[in-house]
Amino acid sequence: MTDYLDGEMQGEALKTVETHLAQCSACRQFVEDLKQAVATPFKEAEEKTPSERVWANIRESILQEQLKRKPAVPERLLDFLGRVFQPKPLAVLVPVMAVILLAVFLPLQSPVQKYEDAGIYLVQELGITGDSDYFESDIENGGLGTVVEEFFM
Amino acid sequence: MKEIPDVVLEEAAGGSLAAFEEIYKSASGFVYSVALRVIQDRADAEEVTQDVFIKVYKHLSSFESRSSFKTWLYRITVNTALNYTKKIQKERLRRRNDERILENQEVPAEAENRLDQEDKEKAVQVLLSTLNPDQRACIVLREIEGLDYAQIASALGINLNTVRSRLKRAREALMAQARKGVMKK
Repeated sequence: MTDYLDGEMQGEALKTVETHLAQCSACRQFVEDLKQAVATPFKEAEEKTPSERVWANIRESILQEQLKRKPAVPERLLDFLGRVFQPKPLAVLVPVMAVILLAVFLPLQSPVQKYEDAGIYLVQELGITGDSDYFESDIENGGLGTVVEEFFM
Repeated sequence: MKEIPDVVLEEAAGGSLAAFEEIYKSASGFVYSVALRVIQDRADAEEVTQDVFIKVYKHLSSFESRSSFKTWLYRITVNTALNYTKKIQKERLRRRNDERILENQEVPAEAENRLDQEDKEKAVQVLLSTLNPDQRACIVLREIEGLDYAQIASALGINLNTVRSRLKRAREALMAQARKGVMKK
């Protein structure tokens, strides 16, 4: 009966029901009562309208949602800076450690090595050698020959 | 429910509040009425209406305009209403019983004098209150909204035979209610 009432019955089944109803007044009455009880009252139901505050609440929720999606400029700026300066473990740590190690170990070069480097510089770049007159004593060249000079030289 | 042009749906999906308000104006009566008949409480139906439109706003961008907006809205409305009903069933039942007591005290003076829309609406509410929420949803979609079985099945996410059996049981309950009414008279 449900399919018949809802217009979902087709073909042979529909023909059979219609033929029977045409002959049987009790069943016709039953179908009529059924319609009165389960269908007719609903046909006159009207569409209802929600109160105005429903839209006000929805609008408010949407605006809040939009604010969440687009944060204010200072907040976005802070967010951007935070992301820029956020430490990135390996990308930052490795170069920083390399700089620290260089800064610590480079000054530990031995003084002897430094003097040797200076000697090489003097000889190769300035052309000054041990034979140079620069280091000859005035004594040998007939310097002052004073006691003080001899003491310091 | 009025037809909503695709361009309005697209603008609303793009974030236009004005377009979304247009959708609300066209569909809120329909959503609220379905929710009210399934839930049977105005405040709860308004809350469900609110939830439904917020869901629609959030998911409108993923809605494919090839399918029917109305069917999509049915699905969201009925499912939200049914979930809400299940969640607050005990609480609502208690409240409704209180309201019924009040109604029974108020009705006699007016009822015999006029059969206006309010009375018809009350009759609808009384009939629907004899059904469980799933049956109610089926009857509302079938008898008030005029959906066929396939549309009801799609809106509720159930198969055709389940639609058929829920309607059958609902109508048995409604017939029993009608007989009770006749016996009282």
